[in-house]
Amino acid sequence: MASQSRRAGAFGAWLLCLAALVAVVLAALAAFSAGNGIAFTPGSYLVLVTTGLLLLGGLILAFGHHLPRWVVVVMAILVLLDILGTGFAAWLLETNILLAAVAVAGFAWLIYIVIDPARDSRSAIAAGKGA
Amino acid sequence: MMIRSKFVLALSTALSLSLAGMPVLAQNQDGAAGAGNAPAASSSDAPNTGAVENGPESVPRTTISPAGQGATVETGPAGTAPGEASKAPGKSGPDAWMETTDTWATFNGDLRAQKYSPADQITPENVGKLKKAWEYHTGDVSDGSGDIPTSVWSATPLFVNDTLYLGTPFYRIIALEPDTGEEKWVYDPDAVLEALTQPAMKNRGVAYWQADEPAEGEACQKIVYIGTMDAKLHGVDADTGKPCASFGDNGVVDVNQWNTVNAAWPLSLLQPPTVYHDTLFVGWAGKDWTDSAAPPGTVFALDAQSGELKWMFHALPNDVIERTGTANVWASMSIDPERGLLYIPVSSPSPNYYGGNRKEKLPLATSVTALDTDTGEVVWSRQLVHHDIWDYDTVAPPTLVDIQKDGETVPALVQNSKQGFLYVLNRETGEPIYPIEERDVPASDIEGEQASPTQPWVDTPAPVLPNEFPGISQIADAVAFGGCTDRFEELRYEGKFTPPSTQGTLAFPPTTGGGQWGGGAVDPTSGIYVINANHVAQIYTLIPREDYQQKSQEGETSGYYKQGEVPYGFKLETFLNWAGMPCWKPPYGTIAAYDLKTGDRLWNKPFGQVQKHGFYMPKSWGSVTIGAPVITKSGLIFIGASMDSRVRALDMRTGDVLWRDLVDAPAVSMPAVYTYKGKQYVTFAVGGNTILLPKVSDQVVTYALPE
Repeated sequence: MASQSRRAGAFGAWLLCLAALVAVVLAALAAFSAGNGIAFTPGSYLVLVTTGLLLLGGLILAFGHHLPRWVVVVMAILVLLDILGTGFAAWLLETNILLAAVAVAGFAWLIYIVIDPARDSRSAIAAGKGA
Repeated sequence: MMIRSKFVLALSTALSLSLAGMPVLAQNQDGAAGAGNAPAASSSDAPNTGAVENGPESVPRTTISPAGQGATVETGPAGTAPGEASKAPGKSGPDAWMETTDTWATFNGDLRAQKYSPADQITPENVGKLKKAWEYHTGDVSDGSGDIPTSVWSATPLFVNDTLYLGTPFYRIIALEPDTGEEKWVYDPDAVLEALTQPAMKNRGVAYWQADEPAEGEACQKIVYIGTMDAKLHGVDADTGKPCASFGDNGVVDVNQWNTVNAAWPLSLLQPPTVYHDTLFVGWAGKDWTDSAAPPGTVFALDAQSGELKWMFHALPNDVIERTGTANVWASMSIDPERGLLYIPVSSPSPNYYGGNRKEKLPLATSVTALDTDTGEVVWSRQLVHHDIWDYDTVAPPTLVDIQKDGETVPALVQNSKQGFLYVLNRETGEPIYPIEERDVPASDIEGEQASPTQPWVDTPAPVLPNEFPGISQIADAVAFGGCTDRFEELRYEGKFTPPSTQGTLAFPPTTGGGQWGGGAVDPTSGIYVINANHVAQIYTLIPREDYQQKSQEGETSGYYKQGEVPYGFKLETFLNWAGMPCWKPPYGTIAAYDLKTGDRLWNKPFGQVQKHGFYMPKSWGSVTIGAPVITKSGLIFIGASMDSRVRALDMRTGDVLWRDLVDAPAVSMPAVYTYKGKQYVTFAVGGNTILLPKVSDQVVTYALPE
């Protein structure tokens, strides 16, 4: 059961990374495709930065099983804020395809949170120390 | 919290975008400026009794006559003096070449400024399939980062003579194939590209004339005209683009030759002439914020082929022009071709916001006035604002339309206004069709000022924006920790027409509000009139001269206005909080339809979207707009104008957006609708205006239904 959770949890983090990567590409297109109404604007640059940070956050969650729990928790919260903020910005920019990618990232984050591999591993570690 | 701050950031950006620039809008659109009027000192001293006046040696002899209501008219060598027999006998009614159903031959589509096309191929049912047919870039664009000032391009494309004609903000004329956008010819006048009177390089297009029966193979039987900021009017052959040698001095008339009174700056010819019966009617723009004694308002009538002066109309009495000026016509004009009447929207006198130097009744200032096209005499005039101290220039040509009312056909006109009223008048007499009442308005508390105790007031049709300030925006007020409310409580506000004050007066609408220079459009068959409007609040502050210590007189950009030698300078600012958010409740821009038969407003909706830093604000807020709608017979409204760089088609019955497309910048113009080889096209000139968005363009884009 624990290994299934880890796999599912890894799936959530990796799906988050994939969605974030797609979002980065879409944000780059939005930022640099002249004639789309938002190219070369601060708003489009902003979502390019935030999607990049989202990708970074996803990678940390995917590879961060051995990080202190508080770091993982903080990262998960920051990723959520990034998802919400980027989603809102994408809505204001009227880039529905970017909004969809961010929505997938949000779904992946939920998977990651609901089936958290770190919880099991940390419990096991704690148990091994006789805590 | 992050979301909220992001929202607030986006909001504030978006709104500061559109509204922080409004002072600029006011002045730019007003374009108010003076102009050269020819009653030189000797003229102004002469009794208005038809005496022959000897002007400067370079200026042809003219005859000065009273034109009515304090105005004068000077008759030039090619003109007909009041009381004389017409020098163009036998000409009556519309010019046949202009009345064809397929063309868009004038700035407003036709002389009546109806902005109406009988084309019906594109309908509410199929407009969703509209596709870009072609796109062209003029190359004449500047963002102001180089030597050339930023460009502001509000040209209406003309379709006539099987050609699409464009004027550019660098004052070139471009002729294109109407169905492909392929270039036919280009005329470059090598114009001075300096912001001599306006803060930007501006142009609203070209004008076209042709002989009643053009002689085959003879040049300049058809002429395209463009004016420049330094008052040169160029005329070129419409088929070849070559200058017309017979027009002025080898194709150029220097209108500034008649700029002889208070000639502080040139008479900028940004608005193309109005053409009727072999005559060009020419107004001008300048700047009415720097001087108190500015060039006085003048309208020129020139021979379309030779450029010779027919007559010059002066809206201000001679005895005041040493102290004031402007009251000029910087917007386009309309003509009743059957009656031979020219309708001119006359702007406010200078300076804009203090009238202590001009307390006399100036009945033609801020008026709509009908002139005899042959002689320039006043047929009737109606002042829309008495003693204008708000810069409420009459801002657009009246729209002429016959109204079916009480079983009768009434020859009417609809005059939109910055103050938000729609004046529906009998265009033969100037009498109101819907009531106009004189209503008491607040007095001025400024020493030396004497505001009019009453102002004309219209309840029907309903004003294009509320008569009362809509209230403080809770969002903007919260962001400012109550700063909007605090500021509001410091200001003087007693409703519409509250005079400017030293404490600061809240103006709603201000000079940038209401209906602007584009004016409205009308469907002459149904009597439905459509107009876009700006809902803006600004603060008018008079600054005693001794306190007016601005380091530079950058009135058009900073919001400070010297106002010449009067006792007060002036500060114009949009009512924003520290974050640049509007302190008043949305919407900020609307579009509405009226049934002129009843005066009822059929619908009124927010139009466009505010965009700042790329972020689009809610549709319910609407957008400040620059430009105008056009109507087609099939019941569609085409309009750009909004700051979100979109062009749209609306259902005239409901105001619903049926189609929209993204263009390179705000399309701050009115589109042209035409039919060529059996196919209907809609063309937008997309120029942008940094007042709306820091985005300019040189795009011309044409739409049609796919094959």
